[in-house]
Amino acid sequence: MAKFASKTILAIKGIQTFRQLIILKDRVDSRLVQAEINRMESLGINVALPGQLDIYEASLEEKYKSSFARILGNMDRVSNLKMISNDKFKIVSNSKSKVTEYEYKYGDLRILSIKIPNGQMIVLGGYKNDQRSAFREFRQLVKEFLTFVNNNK
Amino acid sequence: MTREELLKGKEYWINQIQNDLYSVMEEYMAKKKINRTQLAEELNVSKGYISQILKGDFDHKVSKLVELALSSGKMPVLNFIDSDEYISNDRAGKVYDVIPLYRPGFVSFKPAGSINCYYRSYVDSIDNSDKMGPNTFVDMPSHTNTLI
Repeated sequence: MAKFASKTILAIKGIQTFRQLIILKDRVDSRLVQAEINRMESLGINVALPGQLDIYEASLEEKYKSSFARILGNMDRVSNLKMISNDKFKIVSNSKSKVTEYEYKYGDLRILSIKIPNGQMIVLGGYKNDQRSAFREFRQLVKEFLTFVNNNK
Repeated sequence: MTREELLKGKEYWINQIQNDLYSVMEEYMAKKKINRTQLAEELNVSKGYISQILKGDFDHKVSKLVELALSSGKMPVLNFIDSDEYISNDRAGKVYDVIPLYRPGFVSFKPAGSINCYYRSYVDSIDNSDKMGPNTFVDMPSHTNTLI
C-alpha cells in the first residue's frame, strides 16, 4: 500500500494553507516522517524531502518557468481568497470524486489539487497535451491517499 | 521556488494586476447586471478585448488600464514599495492594503474640536502609514472632505 506525507508550500502565504503531497517509499514509517516534517515546519526549517510540486518544478524546462510562477501567483490569490479568472482555476470534480478537485492552468501547464481542511493539497503537475493521462494518475493518487488517510486514523 | 523568488519575479505582479482588473470587471458586470457584450459596448471596446480581460490576460497599455478602471467607477491606485521592505513585512505576516488617510490639516468635521481632530487624523495617518498597498482599485469617492 502506498504511503504519504505532506508539507507546507512556503512560497504561498495566505488565509488558506497550501500543502503538497509527498509519496513515501513502502518501508518508511509515515507517522515518523510526518512528525519530523511538522517539527521542522514549526521551527521554520525548510523541509528538503521533495513533494509533488517540487518534483514537478524540477522537471520543467526553462521555457515553462514563467508559467509555473504564474500558477504559484494564482495559488497565492486563491490562498488569500482573492478573485481569479475561471480560466486559470476551477473545480474539476466529477460525480465519482470523493473530495473536491481543483485544476490550475497557465499556458501549457496544469496543476491538480484537492481540498483539505482550511486549504488545498497539490497532488500532481502535468501538461496540456497529457491531460487525460494526468487526470487518471491524479485520481488514482487521490484514491490511494484517501485510503491511506482512512487506514491511519 | 522560494517565496522571495516568487515575489521578485515579474510574473507574480503582472498576475496580480491582471486578476485585480478581472475582478473589477466581474464586479462591475454583476453590479450593473450586464453581460460581456453589453460591457464591451459600454466601455467602447471589442468583445475579444473583454474576453481577454476576463481570462485574466490583460496586457495592454497603461492608459487603457486607467481608462477601463475609471469607466468601471474605480480609481487605479498604484504604489511602489521597496522590495526588501515588502519581503521583510511579508515574512512577518504583514499584508498591504489601501487605507484612506487624512491629509494633515484636512479633517472631516466642524472646527469646534479642530485641534483634537487634526491630532487624531495625524495619529491615524502614522498608525496606518505601513499599510499602503502596491496596487489596488478603489471606489471613486462619493463625497469630499471639508477643508478647515
